[in-house]
Amino acid sequence: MSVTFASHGTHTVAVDRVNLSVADGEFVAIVGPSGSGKTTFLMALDGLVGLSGGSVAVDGTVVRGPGQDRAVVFQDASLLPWRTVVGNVAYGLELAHRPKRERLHVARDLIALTGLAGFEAFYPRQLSGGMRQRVNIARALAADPEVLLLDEPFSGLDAQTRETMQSELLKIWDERKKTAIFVTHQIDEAVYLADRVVAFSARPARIVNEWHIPFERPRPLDIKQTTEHRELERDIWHTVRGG
Amino acid sequence: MSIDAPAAPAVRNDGAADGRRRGLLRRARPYLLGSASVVILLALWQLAVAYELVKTAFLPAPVDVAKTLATLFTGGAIWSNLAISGQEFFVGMVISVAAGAVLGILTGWYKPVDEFLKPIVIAVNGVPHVALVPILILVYGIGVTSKVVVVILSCVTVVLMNTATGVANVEEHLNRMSKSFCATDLQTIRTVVVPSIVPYFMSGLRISIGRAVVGVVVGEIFASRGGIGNMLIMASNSFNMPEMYATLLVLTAIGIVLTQGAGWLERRLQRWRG
Repeated sequence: MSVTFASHGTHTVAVDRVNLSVADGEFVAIVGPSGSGKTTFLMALDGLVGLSGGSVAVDGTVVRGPGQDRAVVFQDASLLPWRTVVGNVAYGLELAHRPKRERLHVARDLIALTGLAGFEAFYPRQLSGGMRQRVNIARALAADPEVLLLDEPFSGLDAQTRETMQSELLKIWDERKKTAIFVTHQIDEAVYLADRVVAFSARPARIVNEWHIPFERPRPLDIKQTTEHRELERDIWHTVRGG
Repeated sequence: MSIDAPAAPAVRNDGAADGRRRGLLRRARPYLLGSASVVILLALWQLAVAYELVKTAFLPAPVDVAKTLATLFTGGAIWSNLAISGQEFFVGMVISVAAGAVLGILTGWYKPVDEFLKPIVIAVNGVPHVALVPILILVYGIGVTSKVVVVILSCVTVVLMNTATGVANVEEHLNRMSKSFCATDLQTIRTVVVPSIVPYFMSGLRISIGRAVVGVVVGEIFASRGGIGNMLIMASNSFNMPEMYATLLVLTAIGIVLTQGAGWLERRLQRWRG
């Protein structure tokens, strides 16, 4: 599968001539300064934002809008407050007119996978920030997309919850083997999660460099403390700062 | 709080009972004080009549009003009138709410619909709806229809404008989320917009209830064959003051019940807020 993207506008150029191909099952993290157009890039991949030039393709099919082959994990969770956990997880399936039995079955599976068992009937306001993001991830996976687009999903969480969620996400990803494009401004997060880290410049975003992350999977959280991990982080940090 | 007080239980029990009594009193207080103000007002009214401080031709004693009220219900005179007013109110409200909600959602969602309907909505909303009663009675006659039309003209724009405001205030990130899951416009409206606008819609409904009651009563007072407003004007014209006040009390009670009912409905629709 390939995702290619390029755009050049005359007004505000958020993302400028970015060419990116992502292999099937690859986990790519995109880092860059705040407001560098990373989110715009991701929304364009989903088809929520129009392009001023260039194209996005998934498995050779050009993207013209949101599709079942991609699902977004939103930064602010964007849960429907009047729906329970089950109702939120099954949302995409309901829109796709899948039968109720199947919806519930898929939702229960994902609720178990994301560690939400026992919270099926809870409303979002009753959940912590970390749990809301679990629902957010489960909802995206429920549609069984080929590509997961994650927009800084852990940026609103405290440091400890964030680390828990990072290792949880890797576990879920190992299980489901989706292609993942993960936008973040946390460099340690990018290195820990990804097969490849791509650094964007400040607006208009361009790719300044990319790194292949060599760590074996599954990755325990303590690899973050290794010298190799730290050196990669430092290298990327200097590039993002300098770019 | 000590833990080594073996002699204390009796005292502590007393304290607990005391606390319970105080808790009960605190919970009952709003009802007690609320009833007290009503009782005092009724007593002053009765005394004012007894000492002939007011003319009973204009303000009869509350006891007389209460007796008349009872005969209105036992004698059955009020039921057929309630049925007429109720029919005017409910038919008018159902049409207003249905049309107002649908047009309000379309207005809020599609800018061109808003631009198209705006002048009419502003005009209909701007007319003092009571001023329309004479012409509506000329056009639709003195029966039920003219009052239904009064209610619709009084209420439809209120529901419409409140609903449209609700749509404009739907959280954009939820719309975006819905779209990313390939929702059609209709699906987004059903799953995101409609649940979001409940508080706005309900405040429109509450305002409409008041305006509808006014529309029905004024319409009936102006010209009608029956209804609560008809009873009111008949009693007043024949100087039957106890019956007029009794009818007023019935109207007040209906207003309270309808408003409380709307509040109950709003809480029920939004149980997720907890």
